Amino acid sequence: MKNKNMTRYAAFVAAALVAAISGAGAQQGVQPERRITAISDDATRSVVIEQLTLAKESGLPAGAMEPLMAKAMEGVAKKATSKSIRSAMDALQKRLRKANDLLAPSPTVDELSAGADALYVGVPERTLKQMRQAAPRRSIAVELGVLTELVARSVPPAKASKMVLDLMARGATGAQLTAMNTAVQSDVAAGLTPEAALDRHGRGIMSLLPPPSAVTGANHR
Amino acid sequence: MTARVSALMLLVAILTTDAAGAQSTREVRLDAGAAQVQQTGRDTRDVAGIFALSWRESNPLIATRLSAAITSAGDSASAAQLALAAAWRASESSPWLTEGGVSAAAFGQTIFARGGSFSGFIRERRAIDAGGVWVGAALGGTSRDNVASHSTAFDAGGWWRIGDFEASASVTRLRSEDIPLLQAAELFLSGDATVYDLVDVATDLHYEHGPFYIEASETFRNGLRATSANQSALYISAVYTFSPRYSFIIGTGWLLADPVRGIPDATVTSAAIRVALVPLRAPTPAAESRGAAFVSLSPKSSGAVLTVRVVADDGASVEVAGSFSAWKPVPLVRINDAWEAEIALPPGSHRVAVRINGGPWQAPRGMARVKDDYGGAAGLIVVP
Repeated sequence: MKNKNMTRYAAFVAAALVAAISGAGAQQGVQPERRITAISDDATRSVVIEQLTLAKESGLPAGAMEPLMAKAMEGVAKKATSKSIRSAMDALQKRLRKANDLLAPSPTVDELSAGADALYVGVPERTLKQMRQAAPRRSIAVELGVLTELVARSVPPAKASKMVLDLMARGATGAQLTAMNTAVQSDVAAGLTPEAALDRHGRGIMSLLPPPSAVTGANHR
Repeated sequence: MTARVSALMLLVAILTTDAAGAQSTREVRLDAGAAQVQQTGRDTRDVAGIFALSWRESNPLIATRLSAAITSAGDSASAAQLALAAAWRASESSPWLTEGGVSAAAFGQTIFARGGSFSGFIRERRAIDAGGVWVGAALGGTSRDNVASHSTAFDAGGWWRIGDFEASASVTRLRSEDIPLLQAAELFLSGDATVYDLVDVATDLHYEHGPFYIEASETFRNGLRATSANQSALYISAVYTFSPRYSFIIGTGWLLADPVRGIPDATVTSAAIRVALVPLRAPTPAAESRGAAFVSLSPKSSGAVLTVRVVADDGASVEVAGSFSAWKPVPLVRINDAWEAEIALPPGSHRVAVRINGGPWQAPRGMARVKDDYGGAAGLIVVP
């Protein structure tokens, strides 16, 4: 009986949250409401609803619910306890709020998610701010993602930040940064330290780009 | 007896050096060309055809290269060689890389008639910042006209990479009983000594940019104890890759005698075409990688397709999950010897994990790893 009531409550609250989650690049083909109600553990379902409600009340944009939902579902898939899921969602919510501030004025959902990931692996907060300043009118989700990958591969955050910022200042495209990231991955697999690999390929791309003065305004497109 | 010149060994020495790389590739290539070879103190120049077949298989932890080569000539330059080299590391993030290998050669006027050599080496590398250091040891035995000799070598060195340039320097201490080989190189012993003691100091600089690769090596050789030696040799080589399948290789210079592998000294000028018969194909995970997951990303007009390949038993249950599936497990399907799934990913950052038989979720190899807040890890990938 208790279970049935909880499920109905969950469906009701979830329905209220659907408007916030959907329309924000929500999960591929899986309705958020269905994802919440599909959580079989009552305690976990309550925690997810509670955390999503708190996130919405805290002023996070609607799109930010999606990474929170994904974090919750990751915990469910990994059979984490409701306590762990609450802790993970709470920590992610804080990172999303921080990223929302740093990437102001109007970050996209992808930028928010990538920014939160970047903060999670140790990218300095000021780097996010500088990246936004370098490209105030276009999405920097790919740049943030590449930076996160580099730091996750043990490139010192300060070094990775400087390289990505320098490349952005020279007008490097997301595809060029991704290609650099792939090349770094190959070199690391071949025995080079991540830092040396980044140095090598970062400079390589830099040599193909025009000097900073020639790209003034290029990041404002 | 004059030591036999063996041009093919020079070529295979070049072929085996890049076995240390550990990228996720498979490659089979053929080198075909010609070389003009002149040994110190000999008036004649030998012209030989060179054919070498090389197979390379690697994943992020282990790289293996097997090379077979033959030199065809009308005189003593004829020879054949088989070489196996491998490099391996404990984990993808480990700065330590261990290399080892063996080679065997038969040489003589009529192939296999005059004798041969056998050698092995082991080397440990430690990456430090943009370079690293290494120490190594090698042992070789040579037989010519039923006279056997042994040689040993211990080397230490370091390398440093700046942009497209890489420089290295090393010191090698050699001991050799191969008197015919070293006498032919005009190195002599005093008194009743029967063992050569040599020290080589070598420097190497190479430049790689786009399709161009140029390398210059200078080696200084000096004698110790009863050995009289004072030589220096410069060798320059270049590779131009004009398509993923074809490269052109040239080299010229003096190569000092290598007693460990029984290679006489020689002035060499060579040119060859390299054909990649199986160029850079995605690897079939090796049996020793059982349980490991490999990924590759193929860009599409919008987003990319992530191919996940896992080596596991026929009856296993293999699943992949990630932010792309709301962490709902997606089963892999059996294709040949592995389990596979192809996943369309939209642009953005994605987290991916795999598991076998309901076990712990793991980050696939080759992906950046991030902690998952739940005591495990996931792979992180960015799709432009």
